[in-house]
Amino acid sequence: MAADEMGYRDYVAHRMDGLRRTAYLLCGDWHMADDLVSTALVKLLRHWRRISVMEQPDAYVRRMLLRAWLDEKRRPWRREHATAVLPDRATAVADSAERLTILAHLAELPPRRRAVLVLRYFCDLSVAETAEALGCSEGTVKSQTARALDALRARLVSVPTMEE
Amino acid sequence: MDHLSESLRLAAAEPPPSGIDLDGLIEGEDRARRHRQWFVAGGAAALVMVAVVATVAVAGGLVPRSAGYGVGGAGPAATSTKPDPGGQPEALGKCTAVLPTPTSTSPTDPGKRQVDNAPTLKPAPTEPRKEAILRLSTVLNRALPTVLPAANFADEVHPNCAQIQFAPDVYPALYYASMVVKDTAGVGSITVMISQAHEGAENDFGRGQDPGSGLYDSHEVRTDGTMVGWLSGAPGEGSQVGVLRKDGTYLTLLSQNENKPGDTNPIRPTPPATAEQLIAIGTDPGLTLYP
Repeated sequence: MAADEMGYRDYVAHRMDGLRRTAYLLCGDWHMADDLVSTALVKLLRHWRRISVMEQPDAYVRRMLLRAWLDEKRRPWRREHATAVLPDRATAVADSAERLTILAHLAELPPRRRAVLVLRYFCDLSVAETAEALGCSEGTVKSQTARALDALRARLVSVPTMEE
Repeated sequence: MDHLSESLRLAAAEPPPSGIDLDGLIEGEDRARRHRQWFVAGGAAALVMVAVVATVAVAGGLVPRSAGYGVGGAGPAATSTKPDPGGQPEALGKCTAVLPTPTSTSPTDPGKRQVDNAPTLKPAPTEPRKEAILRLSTVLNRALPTVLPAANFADEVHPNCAQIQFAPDVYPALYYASMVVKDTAGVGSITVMISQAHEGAENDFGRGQDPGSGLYDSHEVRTDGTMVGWLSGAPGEGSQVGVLRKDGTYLTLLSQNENKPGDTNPIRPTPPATAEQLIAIGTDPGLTLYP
């Protein structure tokens, strides 16, 4: 096995879990989360030689994951639609009420606002890092965060203010 | 902050076993890389063959030296040109021979995800695809220089076409056109996708139960009932516009200034078209599936 491939496998083994969870919070579906992570991993593999020597490969991979998800959302024919029969969910029984609540509220947010919340409050990124991941300005991140928190605050009780 | 972070962590706790086959991914990428190498090698060989045959033919007087194809005899490699508003439809027709035909997916394909089979607002258009492509492409080539007079366009899907031409897409998207755009600010791309509106499409424009849950940051309803939505990011970000016509045509237009892997172009400061310009293109009355 080439050293490149070993390095890639090692990196993926350490990051897979976090990437899957991030993707799940973005899309709300574990199957689609796996699809998104797969897409990001293929791109990562294609450019692994270049990415592996970067100072922050995680930021690059996260950006690819976000890009994959936003691309998916931009295609009207690939969007989710209401169906008469709900698909089976592997974790449906174990889902707590709070888990379902936060996922439902996240799902109601526009894609970029959802991404901002996930990056800032799940991935613990700073405003600057979030802006870099989303390819936008820090001002946009701040305004999107404020609007997303406002929307959540209307539904949830204990949501932080921007100053926190 | 802690509460929201904890809630998010709780929501993503206990993931099911991963369905990602890393070995399969690596194997597939290896295969794809080999195919790309073969394709490049084959393409280079074909180019050499064409060059040799053309040289022999011209030297032997078989073909007039001024011969070319595309609008205005631009030559076989006319990859960057300004659409001619008065261009003849026949010029577009020449490229239809190289259009890819839709193959894999049909509305009844059992392998497709359920979301792809969502009912649409209107029945499928009855217009033959070739005629629709010709009609829509003519409209698009008329609209582009009107909205973006200083730009040059090159068809990404049909590099040999002198004008931008729609290509068929898989169900329920019907047609798409993708082009490289060059102007004084640099290089970018514009993509136009036309599909039948899916059920609940108006929710994308904030018309659902929660007006804040739309796909787009901003949206409006025109006097003719057309819904328009747009994502306008910070300067330097791409633009995205959605147009839902009353007749059930759904257009998605993207304008991006990002480079693709391998490109060496400098990143341009703004996308090649603003949301307003994309809206001007997308609301052209001719870009409809139901003429």
